[in-house]
Amino acid sequence: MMTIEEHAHSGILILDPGERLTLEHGEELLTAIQSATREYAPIVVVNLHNTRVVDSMGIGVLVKSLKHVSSVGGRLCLAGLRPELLRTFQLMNLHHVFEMFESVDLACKHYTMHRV
Amino acid sequence: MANTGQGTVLARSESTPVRVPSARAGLSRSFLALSDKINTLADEYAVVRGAVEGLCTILHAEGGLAFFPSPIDLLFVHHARRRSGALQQFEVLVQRRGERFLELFALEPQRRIHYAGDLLLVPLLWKQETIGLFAFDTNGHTLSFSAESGMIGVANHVGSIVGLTAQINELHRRYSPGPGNDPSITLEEAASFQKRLLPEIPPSSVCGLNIAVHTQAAEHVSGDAFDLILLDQNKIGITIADVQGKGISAALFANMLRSTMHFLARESFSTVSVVGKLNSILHKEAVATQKLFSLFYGVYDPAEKILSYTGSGHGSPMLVRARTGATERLCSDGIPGGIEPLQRMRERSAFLHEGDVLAFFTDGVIERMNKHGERFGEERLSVLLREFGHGSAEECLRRVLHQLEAFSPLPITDDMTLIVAKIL
Repeated sequence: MMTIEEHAHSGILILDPGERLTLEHGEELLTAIQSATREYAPIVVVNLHNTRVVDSMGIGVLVKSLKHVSSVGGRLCLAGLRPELLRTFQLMNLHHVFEMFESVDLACKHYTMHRV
Repeated sequence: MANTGQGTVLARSESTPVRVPSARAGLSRSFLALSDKINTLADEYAVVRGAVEGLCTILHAEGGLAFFPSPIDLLFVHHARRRSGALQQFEVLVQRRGERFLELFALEPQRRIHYAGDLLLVPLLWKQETIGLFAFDTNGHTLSFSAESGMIGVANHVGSIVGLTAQINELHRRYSPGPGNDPSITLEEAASFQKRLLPEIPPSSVCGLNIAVHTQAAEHVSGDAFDLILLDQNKIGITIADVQGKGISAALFANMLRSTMHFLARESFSTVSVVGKLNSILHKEAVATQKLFSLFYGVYDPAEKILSYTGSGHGSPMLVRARTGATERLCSDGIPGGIEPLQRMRERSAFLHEGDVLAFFTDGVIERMNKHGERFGEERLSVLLREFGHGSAEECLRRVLHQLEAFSPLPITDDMTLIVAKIL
């Protein structure tokens, strides 16, 4: 179950896709991001702290989301990855593609201090 | 049919308009000329178009597709050349089914076509019949289409894939529930497609390696791709790739990848060059079909016992040293294909020794989960390779798979491929 949290004043959108980021759940994430970008160029933090399973379709959705957000001038990062998930992303060298933070708090602090 | 003295001539072919593009037209315009029939036959239009476009790009050629109104009985079109003084006739060397000799006939398209150079026609196969031709023009470049050059093999391979694409999609339509669909397709038919999508596996010991391969699709066909390509100088190219998603669309892309790889691997021993070119060629297609793909490609030189390799976002293969039992990872720096058209990657090398064991795998192996939600994981795989690596590659593979099955007897949810190679 995905939850959406929005820091209205700082323009940071925090999305938590839940336990699984797969084809079915990924589409929901993308829809939420596309919906948000209709109004402004957001900073999107995808909170993966609760996410245990990300399959190749889920990674595809994250890349697609990153491209979409970047195309409208926004930023997208990943936060709170569990060690196993982080290892998977590192093995695929996706840490060169996504900005990653240890936690959502650190991500929000970073973007608040370095406003784009 | 009329006899020309040179062989059998089909006075007027029954082919539908070929719409092969002019040599002067750009590639994009070329593919506007694909016949409407391709849309009827193949839902995965982008993939079919990509297969043709990919081949034309690497051959610096222009091409198009033509479909016959009914299948004709020919197996291989060896080459075609515009007949001198007859702009609308093409001499085509074919090998007919059941006959062992080449013969000549002319294919007369209904449209006037101007070609700067030679024309190569490749049959599109459908249920062992030729339903059409994939044609491409060298556009003035000098290319050898001799059997020795390997070009014919590559071209026929692509032709088969394009035909198979149409075939699979037709069956997919039949297999899918819906009004008007014929439910008569059997699982055996589906399984035979899967088998035809797999590459030939060389003998267990080749080029200084003892090799065993296992690949398994989560659905009827797999988005995993692997290939073992015998290269010059007794070298061997080892490819393993994972296309995002499962099922038919992933399988079609995986086959396009494998086919392109087959050609590029013979162009150069430089793995970084091959992977870079592959990414560049497939990027547009990956974006169009919203696919990502990871790839690892290594070239093993048995004379020097060196594996040179480049990875593009693929899980690092494992290398278990026979002497120490230590497991090393063959890390690389590329990101998955379909994100950036051009990547900065480096080729790396590993010096190998007799008895060392290499394991190339897709994430379906290490991500396999048991009923408690535990991953099989890399550590388990590493331990098993150390434990079973003393035997042959086949025995090692069999025992690892047995353990994998014991870990999770549940039906697999992701395609998985595991290649074990032992240094001889």
